[in-house]
Amino acid sequence: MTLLQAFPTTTATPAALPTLLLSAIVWVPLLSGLALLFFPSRTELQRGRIRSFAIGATALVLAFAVFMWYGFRDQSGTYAYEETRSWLPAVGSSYHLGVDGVSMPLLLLSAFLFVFAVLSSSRVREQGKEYLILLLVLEAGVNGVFASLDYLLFFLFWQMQAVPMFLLIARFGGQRRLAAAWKFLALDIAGSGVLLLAILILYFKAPLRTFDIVALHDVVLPVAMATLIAWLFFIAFAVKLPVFPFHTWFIDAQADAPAPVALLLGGVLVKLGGYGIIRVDVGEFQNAFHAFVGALVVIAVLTVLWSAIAVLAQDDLRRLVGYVVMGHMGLVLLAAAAASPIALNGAVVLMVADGLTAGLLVLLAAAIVERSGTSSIRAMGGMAGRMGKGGVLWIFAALAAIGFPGLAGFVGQLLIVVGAYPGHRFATPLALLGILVLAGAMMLTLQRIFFGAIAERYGRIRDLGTLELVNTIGLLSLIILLGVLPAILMDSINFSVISLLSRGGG
Amino acid sequence: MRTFGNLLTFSPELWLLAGAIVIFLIARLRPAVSTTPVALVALVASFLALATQFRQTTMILDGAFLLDGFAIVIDVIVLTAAALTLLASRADILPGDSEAGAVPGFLLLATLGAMLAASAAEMVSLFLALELLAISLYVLVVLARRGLAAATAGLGYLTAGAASSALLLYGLALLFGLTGETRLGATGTDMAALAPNHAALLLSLSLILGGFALRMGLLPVSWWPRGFESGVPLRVIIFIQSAGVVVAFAVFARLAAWTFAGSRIPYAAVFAGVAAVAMTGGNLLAMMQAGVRRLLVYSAIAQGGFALAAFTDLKGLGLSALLVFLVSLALGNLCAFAAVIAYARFVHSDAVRDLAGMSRAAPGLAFALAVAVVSLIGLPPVAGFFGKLLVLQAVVNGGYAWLAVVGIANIVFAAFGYLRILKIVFVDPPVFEVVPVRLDRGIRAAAALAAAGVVFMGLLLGPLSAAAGYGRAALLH
Repeated sequence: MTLLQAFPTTTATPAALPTLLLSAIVWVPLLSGLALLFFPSRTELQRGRIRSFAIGATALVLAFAVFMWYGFRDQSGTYAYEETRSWLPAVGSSYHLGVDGVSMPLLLLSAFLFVFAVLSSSRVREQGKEYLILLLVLEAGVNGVFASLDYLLFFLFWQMQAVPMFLLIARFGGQRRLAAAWKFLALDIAGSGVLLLAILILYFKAPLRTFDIVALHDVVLPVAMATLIAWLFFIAFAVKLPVFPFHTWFIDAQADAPAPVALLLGGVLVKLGGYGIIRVDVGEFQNAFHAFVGALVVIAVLTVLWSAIAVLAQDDLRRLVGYVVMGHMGLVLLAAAAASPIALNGAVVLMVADGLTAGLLVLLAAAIVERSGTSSIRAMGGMAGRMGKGGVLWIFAALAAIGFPGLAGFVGQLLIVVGAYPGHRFATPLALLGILVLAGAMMLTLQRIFFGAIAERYGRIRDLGTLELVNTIGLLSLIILLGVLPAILMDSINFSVISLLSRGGG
Repeated sequence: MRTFGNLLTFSPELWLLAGAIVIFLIARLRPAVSTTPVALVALVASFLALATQFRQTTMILDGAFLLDGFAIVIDVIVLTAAALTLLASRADILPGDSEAGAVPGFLLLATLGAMLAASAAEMVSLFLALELLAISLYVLVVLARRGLAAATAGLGYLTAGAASSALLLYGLALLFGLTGETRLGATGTDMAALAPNHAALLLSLSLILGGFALRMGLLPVSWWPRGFESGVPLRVIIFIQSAGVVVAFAVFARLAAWTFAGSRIPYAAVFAGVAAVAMTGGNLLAMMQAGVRRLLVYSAIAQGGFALAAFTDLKGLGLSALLVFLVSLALGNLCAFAAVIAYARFVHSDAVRDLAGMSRAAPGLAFALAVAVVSLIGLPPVAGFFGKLLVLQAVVNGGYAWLAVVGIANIVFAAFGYLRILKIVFVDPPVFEVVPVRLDRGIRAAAALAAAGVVFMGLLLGPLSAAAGYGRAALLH
């Protein structure tokens, strides 16, 4: 602990960073999406051009994000790449963007996953243009949330995802896509309503007429008011996270969204909830947040345990992936409730790791379901003989999900447990128990899908194709890289987490 | 006291009048010639004439009209709405209907009435200007489409309009009787000095509000007896729902800010109550509709409720919020109706369920409709959200936090109701084998411009709210 806290005392003057990069990360996808509207899509060649354009746009965003990450590593200000422009002086909202060690890794994750999502979307043939436009608008919204330092802007980008996501699920999903899409929309809009309410109450109760997150930080509100606002923020984010008992939208959407969309949903969208809790509840309302930490710990442990039991009992492969993600997000909530530097470090690393792992699991699960023609795990069996590469990759993914040392999940889970234990000596072991159950269940699933008697009804099953291999191996190499060299993320996360906690706020 | 000296300040209005006269002559002498270009030229000329008067305040005809910042902002909105309506009009002429050459002329007259009403500062001129607008609309309703159904609908509108004019006149007369003034500014000062009977003032406010309710789109009106091709033509509805509604709110804002705001009656509570009922009721009614046209018109009740909510903070932020909201409302309505008109040409139906497959047959129109619907709900990042946000800010500022909560609840509620349309447009399998028709260029331009306005209003919010602040300052002195 002392070692971790030793870092931020160095106060080097930050090197001048190029501005407009953050804006580019937000606006390039949106403008590309709008540009796609004008592309013709009649012939195969034109559709190919649309696809290449979308890949190019997401790759460009990734390039910006990596470049930003590279310049970001040795920053020591509170926020880097800040941009402030006058936008709505009448209400006190400005176009204020900036990243710190909490948002930068998630922004990087989002940039990576959107590239993988677009790459793995080759199966969406019909209306591919609309699909890609929606995906790009979604990316603008997600990146915008991570980059906003103004509550109004934050809300704007937050809300920007609802309609594209709804249409993506409802239009391109599986059999029960409509029910899943409506459920998503209902909870998302209701959550957004609560979020807007929280933001407006904060805005009107604060003596400053501003939406700026940084400026509102120093405002001291009456305890009851701050607690109410913190609760409202928490509810809005928790629905997205998703916590028990609001998780059913997520599981249904996981099961019925098209694979690339499910990848984004589990990989990035639920991370917005975790990010919101850390940025707003922990970062801005620390004292009020502390008051109801007990409730949060209960919710977090319930979420982890519920997901573990559900994984154990789950027969649907794609739902199972959803529950794995939910279990990890429960851990993130536990870390936020603990609010110790180590646990928060772990939370950010785990969100990144889980994003990558979830992406890999979703892609593999979709491939397996597609080939075996069923999503029922019990009906599978002996796939290893037919899908050798798929089996190996699934083993890695499962190990990463359960926090096997050397893979990305390990560092995050270890830090959370270590960081949360001193404060919550009863809840942390319970959550750990949940993770252990989850690990056992994953191994059991592995055995059921890939080993055992070969189900006779599969005739010939293709192994993973080239594009699928590129995607999955790409994700896997990132998982291994992060598992072996967590330091590439950790240093700047740690600095920002400590500065976030030390700023207090009430 | 110069009576006619500064009459040239009327040049924007005079251009419209000249355009209308030219159009009527052409329609009489050369019925085959399209008069739409003349009307467009007149609108542009009027705008340019108006542009020379930006940032001025001129009193005309002994204070009967006052061309101030508020009026100029409203005039710009009205001119834009009129131009977009004209662009969209040609596509609404059904096969079999003749293109009545005089229609653009009456549209110009209606615009003229609207602009005069926006700057009217005295009861008589205000009423006359509103009547000019209303009568042009009565004519338009019947002129633009032949047949019994159109005549029936026109008669219905005439009756409702006459009744609301009567209510307005009673209200104004009562106000005159209480203060002895017809000039609105003087009425306000008198009211503060005389402190007349509260009950009478409240009655006057209710009568005036009742008179404006139809024009503000707060009353459920059945524009369409049955069938798609019958009833009031959509190009007239577009104008009523954009320019008409904007002007009604503008006139009422001037009236309320100058007279009732000076009194001691609880006017804000009245507005808050009506607004809450209109928001909730309008959304409820809209969700029960099976036709898109009706749905849009009923949702306008909810929009009107939101606009009325801004009146709870008349002396504070309410007026600037109202102006921004009206811009978003006009653009959203224009965009939605233009998309609906254009698509109805394909399928000859306006049932919501017949929109299925729209995204395949006409992706551009589907996008425009989606943008408009999202904006009318009030979801970010498009225009409607900013308008509603500013209104909510004003409402809380005026001390009506409960109304803000009702407003947010209505946004959430409306989202569930209206996103159904998007699901049908983008998700459902098509019900018709739609043969894409080459669309009229004008309506494509109108839909595209309005959609661009709705999408990019957020970016232009700085200048827009500056203009709104300017308009507000003009009204509050």
